[in-house]
Amino acid sequence: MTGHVTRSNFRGARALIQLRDEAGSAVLVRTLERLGLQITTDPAEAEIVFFDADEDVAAPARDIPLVALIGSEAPSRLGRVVRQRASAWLMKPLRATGIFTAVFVAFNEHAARQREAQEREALRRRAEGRRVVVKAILQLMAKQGLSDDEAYRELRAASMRRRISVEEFAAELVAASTSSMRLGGQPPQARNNNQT
Amino acid sequence: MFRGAMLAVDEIAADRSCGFAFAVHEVEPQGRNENYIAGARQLLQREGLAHVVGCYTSSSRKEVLPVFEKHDALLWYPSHYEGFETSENIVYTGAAPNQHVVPLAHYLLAQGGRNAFMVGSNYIWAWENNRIMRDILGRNGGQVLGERYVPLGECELDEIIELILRSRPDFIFNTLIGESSYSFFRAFRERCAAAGLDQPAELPVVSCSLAEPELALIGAACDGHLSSSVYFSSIRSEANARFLAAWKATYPAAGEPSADAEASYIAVHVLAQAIRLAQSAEVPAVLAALKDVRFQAPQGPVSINPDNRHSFLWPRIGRSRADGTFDIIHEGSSVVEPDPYLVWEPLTFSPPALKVVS
Repeated sequence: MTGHVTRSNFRGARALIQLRDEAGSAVLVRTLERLGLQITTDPAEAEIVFFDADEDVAAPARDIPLVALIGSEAPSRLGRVVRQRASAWLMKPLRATGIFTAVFVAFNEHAARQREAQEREALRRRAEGRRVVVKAILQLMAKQGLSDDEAYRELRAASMRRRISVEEFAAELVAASTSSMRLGGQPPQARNNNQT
Repeated sequence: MFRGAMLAVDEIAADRSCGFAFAVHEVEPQGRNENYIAGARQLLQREGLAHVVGCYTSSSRKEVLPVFEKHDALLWYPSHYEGFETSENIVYTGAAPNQHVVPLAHYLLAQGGRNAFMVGSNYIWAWENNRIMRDILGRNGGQVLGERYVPLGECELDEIIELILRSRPDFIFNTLIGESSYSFFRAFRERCAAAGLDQPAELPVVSCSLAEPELALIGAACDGHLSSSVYFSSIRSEANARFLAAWKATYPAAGEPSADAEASYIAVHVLAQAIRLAQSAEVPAVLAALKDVRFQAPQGPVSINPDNRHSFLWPRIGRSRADGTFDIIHEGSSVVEPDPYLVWEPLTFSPPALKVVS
């Protein structure tokens, strides 16, 4: 299964409820248990948090799905909901209807957000590596008399053989440009056959 | 549904040990959602009722739910449905998805069915059942060869039928509703015959909702189709024999009772028993008594899960006959606990606890 499969079963997920209102908590606990979630009071093991947006509750230290329980729709309260990055919300007074939706959206929206963060990180690393890739291409063109396209193809093929990214390989190549390190990172004699 | 409910009302009125009888107030919303809200307001607000048996479609149930919440009243919902709901103001006496589509998928997998073609009415019932079926098939090496939806009431299905013949699935999962479904059964049988195919054997159509009254409406092409249901009129039990005798005596021209008629009959009897146990018709007292209710339903002994207010029921697979009834070809060895959110559904298929009965 890929990371893009929508999750619809939440059996065993541990939920932390930060809500003083007893009737509301009772509805929430009852419905979450029907959905197969487990209620926890330990923030360290919680996998989803339901928090009262009307109270000043500290956001959990870890990045986990948050569901805001909203009573007052005042901008000061709603601003906190946005800043804490709640991925779903429920309006008070709480009723059974809507709770499955909140759990469903919170987990899946949070997962999508994490995937996007990972993609962003990969893009950032690639962008950072641009300068060093250009350097490596220029070096290969100068040393081996290749065109820019040929040099990039060489770089790509070699980094694939090493199973590292083009950026990482280019950085190694540039760092080692004065030493005897050769393309592909293999001993020179092993490569003599297919090298000019 | 109305007939099933009224049969139970009559039985309770005739039962001297009950000590009470239901006075029936009636609203006919004619299938229009806006009439449902007005009807619910009339029954709950103006007439001050606490218990209402009714609603067939999910959209009508969702429409009236806020009215029931506002008046702290109970809706006794006697229809199989797609699940994913546990309202505090509803008691569900029809089958949840783990009692209709899941047993059907397991039965088909056990028979070697892997590749499905799905055709349905463009509505929540079809979407959700198809999602569940696709999910179970996908996790067990099967696949969906095609999936088509048509507007409610659409009867022009030739294009889809050609597509089915070209893709040659192991079975066709039908979630069409009403006239669309009947038209499909007729046209598909005819097209298969023209192509020299034995439709029930080579391209079986399976449904979660096909019931006896619908077989009568399909006509000549009504035989050889599989249906997953907790009730068939052909169940052999003492309780069903009594139910059938009363049904046929009261409604001699109505044909066979459907699963929804039986679920309505169950709803009224369960309500009556809860009132007897609680010695009160007040909603909180009735809800508190629900856990102790045991009813010998036509389908088998039925009880209510007090936690999600859905019913413990008896899934079966039937194959339709030319005479408008079903041969029961598989049935579970035990009652199935309701699981409206499919929380406890196993992720991979293991041979289900079903036994061949004929």
